Amino acid sequence: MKSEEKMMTAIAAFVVRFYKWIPFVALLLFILSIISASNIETKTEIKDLMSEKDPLIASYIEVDSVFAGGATVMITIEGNDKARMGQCAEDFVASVRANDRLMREIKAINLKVDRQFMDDWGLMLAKAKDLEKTQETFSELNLLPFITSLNNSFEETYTGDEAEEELETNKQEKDAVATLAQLESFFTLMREYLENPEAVPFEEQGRTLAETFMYGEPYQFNHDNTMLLLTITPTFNTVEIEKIVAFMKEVKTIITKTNNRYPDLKISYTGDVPIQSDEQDALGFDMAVPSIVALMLILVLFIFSFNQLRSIIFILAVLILGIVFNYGFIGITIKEINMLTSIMAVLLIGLGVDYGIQIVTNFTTYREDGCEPQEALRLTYLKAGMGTLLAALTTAIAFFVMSATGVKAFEQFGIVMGTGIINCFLAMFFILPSILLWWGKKDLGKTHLPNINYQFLANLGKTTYKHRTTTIIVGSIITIGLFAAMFLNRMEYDMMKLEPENMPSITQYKKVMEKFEMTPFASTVIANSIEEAREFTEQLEKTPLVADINSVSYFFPPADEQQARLAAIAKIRNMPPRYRTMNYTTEDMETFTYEVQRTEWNIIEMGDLSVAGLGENNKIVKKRNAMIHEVFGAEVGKPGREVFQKLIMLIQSNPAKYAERLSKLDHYFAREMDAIVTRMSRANRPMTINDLPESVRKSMFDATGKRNLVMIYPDEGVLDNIDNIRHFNNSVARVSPRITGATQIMTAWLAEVISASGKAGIFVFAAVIFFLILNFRDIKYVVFASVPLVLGMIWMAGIYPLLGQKMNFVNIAVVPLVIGMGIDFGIHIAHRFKVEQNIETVYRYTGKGVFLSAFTTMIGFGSLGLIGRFGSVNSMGRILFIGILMCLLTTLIILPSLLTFDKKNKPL
Amino acid sequence: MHFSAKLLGISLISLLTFSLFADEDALSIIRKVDEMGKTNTSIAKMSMLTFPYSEDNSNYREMKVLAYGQGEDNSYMEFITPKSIQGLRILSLEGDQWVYFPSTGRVRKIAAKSKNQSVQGVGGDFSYEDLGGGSMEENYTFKITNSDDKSWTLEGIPKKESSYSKVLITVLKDNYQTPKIEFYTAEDGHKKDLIVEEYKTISGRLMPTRMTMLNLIKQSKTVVIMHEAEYDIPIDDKYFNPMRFYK
Repeated sequence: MKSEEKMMTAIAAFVVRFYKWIPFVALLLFILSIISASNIETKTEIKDLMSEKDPLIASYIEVDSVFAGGATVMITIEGNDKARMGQCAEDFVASVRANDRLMREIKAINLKVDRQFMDDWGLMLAKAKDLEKTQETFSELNLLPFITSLNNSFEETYTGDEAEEELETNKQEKDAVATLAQLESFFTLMREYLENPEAVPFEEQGRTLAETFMYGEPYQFNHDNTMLLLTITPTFNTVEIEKIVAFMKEVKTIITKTNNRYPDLKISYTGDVPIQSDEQDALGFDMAVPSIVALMLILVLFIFSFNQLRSIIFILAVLILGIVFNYGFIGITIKEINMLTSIMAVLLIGLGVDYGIQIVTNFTTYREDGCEPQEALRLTYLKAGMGTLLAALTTAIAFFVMSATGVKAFEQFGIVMGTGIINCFLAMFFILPSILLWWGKKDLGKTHLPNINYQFLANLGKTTYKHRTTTIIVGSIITIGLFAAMFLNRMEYDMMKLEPENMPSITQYKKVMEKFEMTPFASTVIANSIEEAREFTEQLEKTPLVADINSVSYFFPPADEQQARLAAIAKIRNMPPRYRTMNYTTEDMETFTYEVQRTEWNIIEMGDLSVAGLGENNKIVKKRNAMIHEVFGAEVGKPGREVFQKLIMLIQSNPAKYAERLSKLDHYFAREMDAIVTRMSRANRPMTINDLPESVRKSMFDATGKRNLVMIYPDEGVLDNIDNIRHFNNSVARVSPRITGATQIMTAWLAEVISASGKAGIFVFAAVIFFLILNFRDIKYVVFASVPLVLGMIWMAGIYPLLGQKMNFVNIAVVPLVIGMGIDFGIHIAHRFKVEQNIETVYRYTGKGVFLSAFTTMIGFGSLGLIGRFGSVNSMGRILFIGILMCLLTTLIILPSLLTFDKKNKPL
Repeated sequence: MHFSAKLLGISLISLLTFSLFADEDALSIIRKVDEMGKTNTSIAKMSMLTFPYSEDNSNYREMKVLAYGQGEDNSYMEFITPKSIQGLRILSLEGDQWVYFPSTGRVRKIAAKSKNQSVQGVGGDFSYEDLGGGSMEENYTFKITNSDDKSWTLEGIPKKESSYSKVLITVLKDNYQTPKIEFYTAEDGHKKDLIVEEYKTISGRLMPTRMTMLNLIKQSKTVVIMHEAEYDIPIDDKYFNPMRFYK
């Protein structure tokens, strides 16, 4: 007796002896696996696929651990009434502050400008040279001289012959837009007060108008004031999943309750934390629902293919056991599931079910031949056991060799899938036979279920044999065409498209990007001191494609600049009286309207000047057009809010009446302005870290107060293509190689995955060829078995772009799997043909197995591709589905022609 | 946005046009280069394409201008596109600059900038110094650093204050064209390359009609395309009068 027969006989004897024990052991293992699987964390980011030793990942993890990765919850309030939106935001924040559970997890809430801080240090944030100009503006705080001085200052800054500010960089663009927003609020409010003087007391009008100018817009609105944005900085980082999920549950409850009180507004959420929370739901869905759907579909397919309902249910039940065992294994080893390994269950369903089919088919056949169950089982092991074992080992080894690529994602994937195959095989090899012995059908009479006839496969074999020359020519043409189409493949670089579709946080993220023209993926770096932060910031401001920088260095200029600012503030502090009583005349109102007109002209010209440096669609032009009207040289386009013309027309409608109202408003305005300037000019020492608003201090400095976070936001167009992403990454890397973030990780991963996929493909292919040579010992059959795979891969790569699909960072990693799975079809057909030398026989018997094997795998991938919520996960399903389908087609259509090409036409 | 005191087209031409007379001495070579670039007046329609990232040819801003030049220092430019600033006019007169805004009907005198600042938007990667007045001979001391069968390489060291530490000019021996000028700074080393990509004969002269300034530090580039040009023709003085240029 051969050694393999001895081994199989021993296994059969073991199962026959312990078949009533094995299911209990399996049940125990199942329970232990469930417990172990509860340790598994789900990781949804690209960085989770990379090694923590990678310097970029190490920096990322450091930022995440020290500064919670700059993670935020963004709350947006949409509407058309600014005042009501502000009120709603205050109400929402009050509810959050009243929630002790939430507040324990919150580091800072950024709702509006901190007025106390502005009173104490507002002037210290202005450059010394600007403070010099401000002295003149503050010298007469009555409205007319104040606006006149404001215009003078505006022209000195932007449009005059002494202008120092150019409008070329994103920082300059941002500052200019803030100035425009401030002016819009100021002049709009002024018109409202002049129009409706009784709405609020004059004292309050004067105070509010002065505060609006001095503190600016308190809330963060987009350029057309239809969205208010506030942020919450949590204490936890983006890997603390349980906290994230619990936190967001509370936040969502408050959002719902607040929104019920403001039905005319829409409150939504987005940001890293909500996205993580929503992703957990989506990944959980992707790990479970497509697998369940695939199992159900396979069940239906088998019922109508095999007519053995009970056995099929046994197969699927044991398959679930095998998969759960593997989750148990992951729970005690790797302890995490990432974007790649999340498709494990679907893959194992497609691959693992084959082993069960072999066992059941053989066992049932022997039973039908009159064998007793024990004997049927022994024969099953003897005849089909070793083949099944070798098939499982081949597949497992193909996966294990992926681990040798040295890339974390592939190592994990290879191990998870390799052990998954072994677990499924062992379950099918020991548990399934035990169940068949114990609970298998005693009466093997036929059922009344209709049966699918797979004769069409034999007919297909016959047809391709008959027209083998035509088939080869047509196949070659298709292959050449699809080979050319292969070069149409494009990468998807928009990471948002890899996120789950219709996820509330993603939908709102896109809206925030559109409304605020900001790119969500900030790069970050930890500066070891304020000086280093300043050095980084100064260089980054000049760096191309950097849209915005968030840095503490803006609060702490160099010591000499701080002293210069203090000296300028001292001059403001020591100014003589800054206002007088003014009774406006109708002539004054003419001058006043001229100054308002002058402000409009200045803003229009500022927009014109910005076009050269920042392009036609810059934010200054958008803001200008929204607050005034569209400007095309001497032509006027779409109307805007006409902030200035409405005020001018109002005053011109009755200059005497509005002169009187302006006089009253001016009295309180000038007095309040003076009070604010007095408060702001008290600063008489350099600012320290402790003077910063708590929200800034806690989110930007570490516990030591030295290390601080610099956040770099790329231009909104950066993510459009890989060249821009690389340009941005290279540019910021020149400032510091420690700068890390989503764009850096994305390109690093891309480089890694392309190289590793190629390597994995070669390894898997080499392993497969090695086994083919061992198996066939005939190079001709090795080639025959490989051709469908090679053609299938070409067809897959060509058809994919023709279907409008793009490759992405995740699905490119699973392409090597097609090699491991697609080769099987060729092997089975070539092997059987070597034995039978008759193509119809081959397709009648082996064709069905190959078809079902491919079809079950395709059902798994298809359900993933159609139902998977993650863009990245369903794209993996799609490419694998197409890959397997193409390998199946080339096996069923092209291979018969190749196998029989040198044969003369003779009866089959 | 601030604009050069020098008409863009004229300045570039003076950088890039050359004598057909050969000589092996650096000074005489550069004199011939300067000589060819001299024009009394010019009218040109040109486009300036600024590419934030030189390798991404799909992302750029384009401006089309009608430019009048007088001598080495005076220029008048009127924007044809983009639409939002159509009709905006800039007069540069011996270092002073005026802008006429059709959107407000106002004329404003604007600030002059330092030499190394980029003429962003209009000039893109061309700095004020690149477009500034004065001949090559006036601005640099040249020596021949390399000579082969086809070309000379001239190294120019600034004679006066300059944002560059040196320039390297390739001059072809057969026709004295300069396909490339390299700009170096003390801070960044090799900073920019000016590459002439196309020449056409205009008004009987061989003129550069397409050239690219590649900023190796910023990884950006600016392409200037000359669509139409006329040289040494009479131009109404009003274009160079701050009181009348906008009328």
